[in-house]
Amino acid sequence: MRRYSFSYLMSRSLKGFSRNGLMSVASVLILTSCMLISGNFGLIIYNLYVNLHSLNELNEIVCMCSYEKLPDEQYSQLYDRLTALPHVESVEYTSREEALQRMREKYAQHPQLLDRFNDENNPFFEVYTITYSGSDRDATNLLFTLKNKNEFPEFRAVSDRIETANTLEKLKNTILWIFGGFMIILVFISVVIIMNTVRMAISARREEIEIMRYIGATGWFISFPFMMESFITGLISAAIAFVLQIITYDYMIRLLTSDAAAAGMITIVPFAQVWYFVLLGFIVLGFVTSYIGAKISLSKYIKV
Amino acid sequence: MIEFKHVTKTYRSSTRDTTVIALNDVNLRINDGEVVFIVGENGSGKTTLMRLLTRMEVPTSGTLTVDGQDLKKIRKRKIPDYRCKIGMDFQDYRLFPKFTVYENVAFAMRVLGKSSKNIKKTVPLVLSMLDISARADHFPPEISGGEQQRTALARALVNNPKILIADEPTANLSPAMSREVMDLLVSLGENGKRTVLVITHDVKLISNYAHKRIVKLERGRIVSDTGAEVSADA
Repeated sequence: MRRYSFSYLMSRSLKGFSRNGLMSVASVLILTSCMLISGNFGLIIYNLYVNLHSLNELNEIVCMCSYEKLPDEQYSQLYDRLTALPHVESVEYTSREEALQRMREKYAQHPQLLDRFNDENNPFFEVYTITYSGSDRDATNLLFTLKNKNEFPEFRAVSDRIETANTLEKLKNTILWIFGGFMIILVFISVVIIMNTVRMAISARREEIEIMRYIGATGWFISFPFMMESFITGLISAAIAFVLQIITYDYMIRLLTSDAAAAGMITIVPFAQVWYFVLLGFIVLGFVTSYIGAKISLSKYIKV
Repeated sequence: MIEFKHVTKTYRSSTRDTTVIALNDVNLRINDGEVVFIVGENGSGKTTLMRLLTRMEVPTSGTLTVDGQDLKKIRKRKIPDYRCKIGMDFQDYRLFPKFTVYENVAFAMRVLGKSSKNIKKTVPLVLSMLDISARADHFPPEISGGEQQRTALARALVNNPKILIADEPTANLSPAMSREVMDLLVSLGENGKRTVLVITHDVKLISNYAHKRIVKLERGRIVSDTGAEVSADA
């Protein structure tokens, strides 16, 4: 029974990794780049998903009136007609003044945006916010009714989350396809790079391997250091990519939130909420590409 | 016992698209504990013979058995265990220049997963047996050719192999040193417990050991095999 000392095998692996020098550095850099691109794509998709999810939870249709102010009689009639519609749960009226006030509160950190507006110069319209229940189909029917000018000539515009959600869904799917394509290419590149690094390492240690074979070393004993070197490459790449991901994500957040309008409209997932997924993803990606790359090279170039 | 029965080994030359016959219908039997010199010019098939014995290659036709085990039929995962029976001593020593003499010898034990305790006990004994204990902490480039050859021999012997194969052991040594190493190799097989195969092209040196069995190869064929009393039925 052959019993190998783990510390001895590990020290051989570490020596091998440092002996590869520039090739190891190149592998780490390429693998890191692949991970970073994957990480950024993944985070963008996750953020889109979160925004889409919150949008889907919002069962609201917003109707903007054509008039600056409806007469009281017309207002109560319109209110009754709206509440009588199927699947409508509630109707909330927002006056122009209230709308302006809400905007002021929302952009309290950027008061200059709304400075030039007041009660006389108010860009907002009177709004009816309708909350509904039921399926997407019910919501579509309701939206269709509200957009019908013959039935509701009072409204100049009707908007709901369905359209926005559809746009976001399309965007998410497009990015997902691009991401998928990129991932295949990146994983392929990473595997080829690892394969090449292992091949070169094997070539550099051909004589050593030959001696080991003559002495009676098992394939496992010969292959172990190369496999470990690949794992070390994957692990170091994952660690560097993780640090760079923190920096790039922070930069992306700052870029997006510097635009006040965008800051109010979109939800950005804090990195603290997703860091473990990112780290785990990088480690898994590192291990999988290292394993595949090393395994192909070892089975091709090392014979027992 | 080592037995070659009608062993032929051919190689396909990829550049010339021709077949090269390295060994041609070789029949040879070597009993346990024999010391055999295998001589021949370059290209006579000596190295192929050695590679077949170490199961680096398999015969194209014929059978090669070691202790009754057909090397062609040996399972892949059992090959390393088979090789533990053999100690290899190379022409160019193949020592690791960044390992000391001690580490080079210990490496052969580490490869087989031997314990540190066992290594610490065995390596000094083998170094002392080959008279290189004083050089234990030196690196190969710091010692003479003869000492490097002894280190390589120590590495080949440290796992106590049943068969010792020395491939051109004197190729890089002075005549005096060559004689010394050859004597050492012969002495290693003299107690009859270990089979020693010495592969060489140095016919002049071998003449000093005429009382031993000498197998001569020419163009892949055995052209003479002295020591009839041990090889009569081969």
